Amino acid sequence: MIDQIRQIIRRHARLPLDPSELLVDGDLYEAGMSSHASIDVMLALEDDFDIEFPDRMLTRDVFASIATIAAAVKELQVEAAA
Amino acid sequence: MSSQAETSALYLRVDGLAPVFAVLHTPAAGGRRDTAVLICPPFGWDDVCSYRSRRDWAGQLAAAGHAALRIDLPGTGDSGGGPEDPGLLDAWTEAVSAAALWLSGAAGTRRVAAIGIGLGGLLACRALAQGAQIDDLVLWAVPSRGAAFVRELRAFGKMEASRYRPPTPALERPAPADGATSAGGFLLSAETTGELEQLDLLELTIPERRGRRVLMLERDGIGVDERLADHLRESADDLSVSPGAGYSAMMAEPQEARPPSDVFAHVESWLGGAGSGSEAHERTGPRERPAQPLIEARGSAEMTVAGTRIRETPIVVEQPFGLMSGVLAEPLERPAGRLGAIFLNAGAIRRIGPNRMWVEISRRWAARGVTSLRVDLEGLGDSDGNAERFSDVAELYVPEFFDQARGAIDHLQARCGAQEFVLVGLCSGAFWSFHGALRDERVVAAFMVNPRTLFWDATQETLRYLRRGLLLPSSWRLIARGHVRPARIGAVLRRAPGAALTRVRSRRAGLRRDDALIGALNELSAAGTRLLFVFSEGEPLHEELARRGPLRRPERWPNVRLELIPGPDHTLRPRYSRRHAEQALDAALGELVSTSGEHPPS
Repeated sequence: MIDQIRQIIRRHARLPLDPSELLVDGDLYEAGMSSHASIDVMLALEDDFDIEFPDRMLTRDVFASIATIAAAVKELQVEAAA
Repeated sequence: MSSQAETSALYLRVDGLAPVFAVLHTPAAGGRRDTAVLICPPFGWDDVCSYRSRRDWAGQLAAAGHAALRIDLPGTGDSGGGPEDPGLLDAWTEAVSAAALWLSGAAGTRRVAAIGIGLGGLLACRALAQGAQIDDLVLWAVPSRGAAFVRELRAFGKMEASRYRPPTPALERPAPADGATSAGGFLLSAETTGELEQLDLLELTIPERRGRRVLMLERDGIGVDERLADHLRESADDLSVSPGAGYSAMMAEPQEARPPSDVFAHVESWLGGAGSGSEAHERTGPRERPAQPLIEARGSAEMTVAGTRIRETPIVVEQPFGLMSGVLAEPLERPAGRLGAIFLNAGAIRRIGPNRMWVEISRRWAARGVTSLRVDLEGLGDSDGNAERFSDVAELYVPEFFDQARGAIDHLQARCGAQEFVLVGLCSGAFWSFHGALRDERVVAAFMVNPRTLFWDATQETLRYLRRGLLLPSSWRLIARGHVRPARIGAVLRRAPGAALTRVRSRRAGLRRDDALIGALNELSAAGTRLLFVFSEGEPLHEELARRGPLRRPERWPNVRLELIPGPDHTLRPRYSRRHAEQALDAALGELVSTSGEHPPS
């Protein structure tokens, strides 16, 4: 999942650095991701993982790092499976 | 773009609609194709970022023989109206329908293809369902439901809002509770938000038309809306899906946005495919033409602003680099006075200004009797020139921009008789306003919002990053917090000695800039030139000037006014920041006008 998220970030986050250089808990906004680009990341995650982020998850905190994104995706996958 | 293709800006007038600003790209006489192309824009910040790409796209289509028309939706861009106008969804849909019909007639083609991006695609489909004369569709990043579009916009607004917290609870929050949506500095009213949320393209019946083709483009790997694809397939002879690489690059910040050339080439090839050429006319036969509203194309448009009529006219000014474009706003109910206003690009944002502020302010000022020109400098908006160079911010500070600003002054003087001028700008536009005041005696005032520098020095930005604990925005802070891998740390550390030297040099340069500024303020004070500085919270130039001295005691220069406004955004995206900036600009103009005694402020 982490690699898949990294690929999405590479395609959509418009970072000035290679996402492979970021640690999983590295701050994507500090790394240069804009609020605008984070929406593309959100849509790509929804498309790739077949999930939909609920309103409560549409915050900067959820998209702040690869780790927080992975946690949110897992949570949504568990909810969907339940 | 082919040099033989012609470009002309115009307004489409349709009964009941605000004037629709449009730019027609006409192909050269030989090799014209029989499908004209209407480009329907996305909304808000997406519109701003992708403007230059859409201009390039239309230019390339014209070079390939397709007449191409770009429009600004009512209440957006250079079109008439505003975001809080009632009935906008219907107005947008009618504008698309009218533009398609007008284009078909003006270009003399038998087919019209609509390229719809985001909101523009939703509108093209809605217009088609209502009988618009659109034959083929190219849809990019278009959902089947308006609610999905609103959700995306709302999420953008929420992400932004959490970054730009209002300084006091009394100030308006970016996502107002009344159901309106605010994102990227642009407002979708509660009514329009509600109407869009109710829009479901799957519930609309798309009339069948023989030979119809639909191309749906993915969004850098994000799949197309399959439900919409299935729905459109029912009324189309052919529907295909293609990758659509380059969407994200097209939607990058305006100075970094890149046109999606692979998509341009693919769509051009697709347009030339089966069903779109002369062969298709025989299959399609004469088109049924239901009763249509009267659509006129005009070179200027009259509008009413706060009960006062004004006129807007697109203009071009010949320059050494090619044609410089702009839009002139003139008073109609009172004679134009000696004072004219020129609005310069805010960084790489087109002439509409940050969050369309220049449009609304220039119209308001025109209603007050001040002829106003919103201009695009070289490579920006609709002006000729290379846009890709602006990824290097130094390119926004090249000396040619001063000559171009002076060219705009010359034009306004010759055309409208204005003798004195106020220059208005944000960021690099503020820089050129300042230098216009310094170097052209016709400039009696410079209104500057968030200038990042007043004397260009490439090391200044580097010093700012260093002061904030950064070498690059993505480096030092990430390292300090342990966010990046060791290889990245090594790369940054290798640059450290050079960075330290830069810091020393930059400090010296900063002191030199302060001396230059004090000299310039003395000079402008002696000349009686009025200066307004408007700074958002945390603007680096304001912090530096306040710390080092020049703006600590602005009362030394009676011609200088300093306004600090709430909110930390450089381009005034929070609406409360924008409101304060507009009040400061309007008040400064009022003082200027009342002092000149020409037009009492209204």
